[in-house]
Amino acid sequence: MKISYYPGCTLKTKAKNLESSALACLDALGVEYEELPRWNCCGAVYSLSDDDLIHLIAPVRDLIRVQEQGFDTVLTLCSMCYNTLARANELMKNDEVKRGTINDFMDEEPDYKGEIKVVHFLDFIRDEIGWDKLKASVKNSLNGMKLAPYYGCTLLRPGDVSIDKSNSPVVFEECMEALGAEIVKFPKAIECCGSYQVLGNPEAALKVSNDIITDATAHGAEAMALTCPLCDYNLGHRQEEMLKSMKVPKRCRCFILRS
Amino acid sequence: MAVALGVDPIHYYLDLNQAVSQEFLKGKNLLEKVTA
Repeated sequence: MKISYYPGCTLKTKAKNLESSALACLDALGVEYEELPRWNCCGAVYSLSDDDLIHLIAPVRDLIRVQEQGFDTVLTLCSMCYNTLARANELMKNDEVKRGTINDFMDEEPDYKGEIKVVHFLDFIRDEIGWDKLKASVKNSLNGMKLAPYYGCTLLRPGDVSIDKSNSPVVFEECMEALGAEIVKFPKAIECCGSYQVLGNPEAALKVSNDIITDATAHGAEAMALTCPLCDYNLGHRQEEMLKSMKVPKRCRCFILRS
Repeated sequence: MAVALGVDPIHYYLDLNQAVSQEFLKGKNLLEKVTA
């Protein structure tokens, strides 16, 4: 099995640890991957403006690059990249008028019709590796670690790009369970961490993240597992601020796909 | 996951939580296993 791999900007800068650990895990699981030789930023966020088609040029170009690379599926690690690429792909697949406008604008590129399948690390492991093989590959069981998987928004919403059931996902829990963790479920596991509000309204983002960690620890979590570098920043790196200014009872370790 | 799969562990702790993570994993007897 060989798959195209799209890294995205953050994994090459602030979240190198996520990339290096995830790729090492793929090596350990016998997955061959080939990084996209020419890639650009995915656009970071999917535009909520219905007619903001120029925002889709970046992710569509990336998907065209995957086609040129000779693959029909592309693997992402960052949840934001997954969401942006998958939503752009859905639009190109289903909206004939906008697809035509975008393809006409990029007249130097081959026309694209949404043929590439965009997958995230978690659904790729579930669908292509399977929990049994993952479990069999474990060398150091997480036996005894009370781990709270946190999804955030972009793996689950909107529903047409969700990697699992939007309101009751289990894929992250099953993955961590296969590694030997004791799963802690908590209601705020699918709520937003504050995302880019950390730039414009950092106090509001801090409050939201504080509520999530407080919820996880109240349900018995010793640590949280994350998939998104931005969630890692809000929930992990800002805990010192929470401990000083908020009511978070204690530090909760955050492991980004490397529990 | 990298810890559980036993792949090149030290490199993956290099983040802001490094010290806390190492201390935590040490408490779980995982750090010794993967660095052995």
